[in-house]
Amino acid sequence: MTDDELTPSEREALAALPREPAPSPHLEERVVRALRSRGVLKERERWTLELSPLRVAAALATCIALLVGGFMLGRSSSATITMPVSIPEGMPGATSYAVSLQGAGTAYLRALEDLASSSHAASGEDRRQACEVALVTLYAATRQIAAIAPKDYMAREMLRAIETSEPAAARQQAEGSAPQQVWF
Amino acid sequence: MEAPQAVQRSDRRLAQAVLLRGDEKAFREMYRRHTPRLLGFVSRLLAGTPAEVEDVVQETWIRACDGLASFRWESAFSTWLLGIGLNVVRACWRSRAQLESIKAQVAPDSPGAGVSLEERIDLERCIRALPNGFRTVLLLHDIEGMKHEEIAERLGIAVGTSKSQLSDARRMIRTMMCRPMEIRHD
Repeated sequence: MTDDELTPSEREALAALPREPAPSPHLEERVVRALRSRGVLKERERWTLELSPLRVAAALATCIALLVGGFMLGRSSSATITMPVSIPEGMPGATSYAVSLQGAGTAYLRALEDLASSSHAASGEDRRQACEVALVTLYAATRQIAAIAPKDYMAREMLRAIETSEPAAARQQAEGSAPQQVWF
Repeated sequence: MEAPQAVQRSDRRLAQAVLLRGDEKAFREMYRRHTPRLLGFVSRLLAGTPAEVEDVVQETWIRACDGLASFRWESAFSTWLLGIGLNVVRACWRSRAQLESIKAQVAPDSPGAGVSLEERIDLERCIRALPNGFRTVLLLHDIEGMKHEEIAERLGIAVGTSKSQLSDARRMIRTMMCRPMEIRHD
């Protein structure tokens, strides 16, 4: 071996020297700042808002309009009769069905409570119609439950009890007069 | 890993974005691609403090951006950048030599730098202890893989000088290490 040649181990030792150390993060910013100050790199355009009296007035007017508009919208929507039950969209499954059925049941019971509490003021005909609708609704619901769960004891017994009690609607149909409310 | 031609094309596109639009994002991409190698080269060649090394890297990029329009893309951008880094380091040596000269006049009996026993067994430190000229040739040839012709052209010396300096550099390192170089795993 001569001085001009590297031994394999020397070559390996030189090759093993780290060649690409990671530069410190602040160095990049330092270099970029230096190049910006020299005009080589252009400053990124930043979105700025100048506050002029006209813009402030416009912003205030917009805020007030939004506030009043929101208030009016809230009032009008609270005055509107809305459906008490809404089926959640896009999330089918036992949980969403249970929630919607619970909502429907609550609304049904509330309507019955309203009927009971106002029955003294309501006329006899109104009350009769409401009871008829309540029974028909209950009957339809029971039939649905029995169809869904035919082995369910409670559903079968309720259905049997309602059918044997000859509801007013059935009686009216049997007598030839159609019920005044047909929903199902 | 990208092929050298693809890297070169990408470098050229980024350089054009910097030149034409002053595109900071393009510059940052170039910077992140080439700075690790430049930093390693400068750090080893300068044998200075981290702050001095960072100064040189910054100055290298500034000069590179200034000269970007005149770069003809006949060589790899990374090689061109290392060449600029080399020139900046040599300028740094000259100013350092002037400073040392002033210091020597102020304090003529200050102790000279010696090579400690610890440095003898450390290849990195041995390289740092080499005279600037020897270290430059050794790094360009043995670390960066340049040919003597290319080194001679870059440094403005004869090919024979490059060869003899490399030979001397290797001999000095062997002497400092007192045995053939071995791989160190520390």
